[in-house]
Amino acid sequence: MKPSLTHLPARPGPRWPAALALAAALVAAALYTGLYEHEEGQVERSLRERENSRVGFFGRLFERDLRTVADDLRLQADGDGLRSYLASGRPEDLARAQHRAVFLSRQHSEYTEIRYLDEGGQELMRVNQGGAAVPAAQLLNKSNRDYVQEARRLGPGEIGISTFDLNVEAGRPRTPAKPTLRFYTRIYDAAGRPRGFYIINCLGESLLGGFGQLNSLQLRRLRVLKADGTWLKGDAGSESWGVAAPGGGGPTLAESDPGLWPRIRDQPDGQAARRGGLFTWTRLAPARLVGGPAATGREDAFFVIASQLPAAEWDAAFSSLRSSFLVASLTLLLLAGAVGWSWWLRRRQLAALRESEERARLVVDSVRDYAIFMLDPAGVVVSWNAGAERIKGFTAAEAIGRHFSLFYPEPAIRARLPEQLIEGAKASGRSQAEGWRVRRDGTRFWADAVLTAIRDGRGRLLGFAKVTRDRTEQKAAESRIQQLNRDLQRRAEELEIANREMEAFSYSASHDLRAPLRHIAGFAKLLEEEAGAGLTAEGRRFLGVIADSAGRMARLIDDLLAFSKVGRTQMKREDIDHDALVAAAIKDGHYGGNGRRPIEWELGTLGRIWADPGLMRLVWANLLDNAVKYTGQSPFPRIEIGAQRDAAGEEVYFIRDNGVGFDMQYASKLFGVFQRLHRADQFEGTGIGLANVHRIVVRHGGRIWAESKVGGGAAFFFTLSGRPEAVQPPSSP
Amino acid sequence: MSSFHPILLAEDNPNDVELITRALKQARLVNDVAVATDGAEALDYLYRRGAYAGRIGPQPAVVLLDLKMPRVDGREVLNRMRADPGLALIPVVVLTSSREEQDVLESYNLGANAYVVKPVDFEEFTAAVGKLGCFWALLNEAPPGTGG
Repeated sequence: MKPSLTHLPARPGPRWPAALALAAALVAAALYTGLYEHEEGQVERSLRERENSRVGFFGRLFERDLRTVADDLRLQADGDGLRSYLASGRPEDLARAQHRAVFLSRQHSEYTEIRYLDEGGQELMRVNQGGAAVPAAQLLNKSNRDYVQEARRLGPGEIGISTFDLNVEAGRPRTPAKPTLRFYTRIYDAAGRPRGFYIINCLGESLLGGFGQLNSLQLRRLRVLKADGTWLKGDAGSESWGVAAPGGGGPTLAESDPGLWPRIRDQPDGQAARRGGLFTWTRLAPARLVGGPAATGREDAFFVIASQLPAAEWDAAFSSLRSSFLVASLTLLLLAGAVGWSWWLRRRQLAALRESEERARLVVDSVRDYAIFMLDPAGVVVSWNAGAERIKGFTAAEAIGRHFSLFYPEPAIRARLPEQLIEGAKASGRSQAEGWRVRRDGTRFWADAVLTAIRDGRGRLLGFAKVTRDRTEQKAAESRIQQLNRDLQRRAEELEIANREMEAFSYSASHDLRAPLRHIAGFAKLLEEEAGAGLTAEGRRFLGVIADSAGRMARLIDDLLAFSKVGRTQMKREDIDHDALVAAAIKDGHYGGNGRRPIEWELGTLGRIWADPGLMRLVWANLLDNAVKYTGQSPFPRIEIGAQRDAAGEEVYFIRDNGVGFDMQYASKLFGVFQRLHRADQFEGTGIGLANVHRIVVRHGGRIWAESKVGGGAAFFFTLSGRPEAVQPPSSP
Repeated sequence: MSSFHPILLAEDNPNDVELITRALKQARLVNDVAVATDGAEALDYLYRRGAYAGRIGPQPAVVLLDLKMPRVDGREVLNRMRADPGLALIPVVVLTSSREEQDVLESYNLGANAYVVKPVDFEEFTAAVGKLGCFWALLNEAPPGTGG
């Protein structure tokens, strides 16, 4: 059973592409996640590295500043003036040393005090900030200071550095608080005896002012802590140098972040992610840096240089990565969606195409009236439909694979018709042939075939489509029609000959038939003249009958000739005033007089007609003659003429009289030639007038009929054309 | 021999000849009536040859010519007469039983002076022939050069 065209089976699509797509998506997701994690690590690493290097940079800057001060201290302690003074003890040598210190102080405004103490702690020289040498009277004894105690432990060339401290003067921190870092060394003379202490007080703020090379952002991140966890520079303003006042200021780091501080104490360098951000630190032991850690006795004295990457920036780096990945993900998803969508569309189009191809194939296959089949470029059959099987008698299995010349009879193959068809279709795209072909059973049929070349988009020949119609029956019908036409033509010729013979007959009749009648009449008359007197009355009546009969026969011949003429003459229609034509016919008829009773005429309006005027005059002359004749015996003869429209809208002309009428059962004989309904002795006439009227009306495409009853008058009706528009002239004059 | 020009009647039917000559007599025409029974004889008469080779006397005052005749018909006679300057001016009345229009038209085209359909009724016939004979034989001056 063939599947119905409207319910094709749904073709199940392959499932594997969907599974493949899913697997690909999973792999892509895994790769993508891995990539994201990797990138995240990279970002974290680079952030950490950046912070590390930043802290390293801070540390190096700090270290350089410290070293600069330490170098200045060594140069002063080892200066010529001081050396000479130690050897000579002369004041001018000390003045030279002081002069050198003044020079240094002028160069370094951060050096608030440069002083030299003797072993007893008594200031021998002091230069205040800006190179102001203090007069001897104002010099103080500093022996009670911690740094003096610490400096006693230093060997030659060793330098000690105090922690950041407030400049305490006279037991009280100097105000405003100025955290100060002290660099100190012990002076030894050439013999190696200790001879006092050289000390440079350096403003911590100025020292760290070296960080002024940093940009504001770097500076903002910079954190400096002392070994006890107090802030030298912190996050908030309160943490900046907040430790200046002992016991004052904000909380130490040990207090504010107890988790972090032990780690900083334990590890010289490190990083820790805290709530406030990434904290990166490095510990600097200044004493060790300047070359005298053992002598300082303050192993735990260190600074912490740190950088704090704010949590917001830390997060921002990741959120930027995340948003990049999000954008990339969305783009990828969109791309994948677009690819998937187009793939799905393509698949659907292919399915629709397959379906339409399938439908087309089914339609072609099921066509039975046409043989439709495909040929390859060489003319070998590659497809075969039901019509081909029906018309040619070969099954698909028999036909496919064979050359299509199989369907041509021997003479056509010899005439190379199949090849010509192929060449024609190749050359012009299409070739057509009609002729006898053979079925499988050898019977012939008349085929009308079209061969169409099929080419692909690039014009390459794919093959041919051949559509063949079995036109045997039409061919037979055409032959019959041609035969009928030939018959018709022959009959027309025969009719033409008959017509010519008829005309010849009419001509000779008018001459040869009338002559004897004339003679009969003439000689009867002569006989009457010659022997009339000797004849009896009866004899003379016989002669009268002979003459009358001859005259009557002559009239019959004349009428018959006229009748035949009516049928033969060419009809010339024109626009006619019907009323005027009828009026003229009445006048020409001279129906008054001759002792007749006057006729009462009643004339209606007839309008205009499109007809042959000569023939129409003949119609009315006959109808009028007829009406006048049969009212001849009426006491009040009355004739009515008019027109009326019938139910179909057709104009019907009529003439009605109150004459003797006729029996309707003979109405069918009324219009026949020589048919008369009355005896000749009642009403004269040859019986040809109404036959003429009938003939003329029919030639005009009209109808004529009559109504009557014996003694009740008669009415004749006629129309002129079955088609009302034919009554109109083709063009208005 | 009458001093009147004769009338030539070309008619093959003896009955008609008799009726016509009788009608001419009844019209009291005194002209001789020469009868030719066909067109060839009529031409012989006019050209004075054949049976009429020795004919003396003038050419006819009028030729009454039947159209349908054996051998040479009336049309040809008329044609020959009108083509011959010596005969062209002799009046010809076509006398025939035909009412065919083509005959009438052809006759006039060939130069017939009149055309008369022979009526069947003898009295009408006599009247028509008589009138025609009188008109052409008596009232018409014979054209010059026609002899006699």
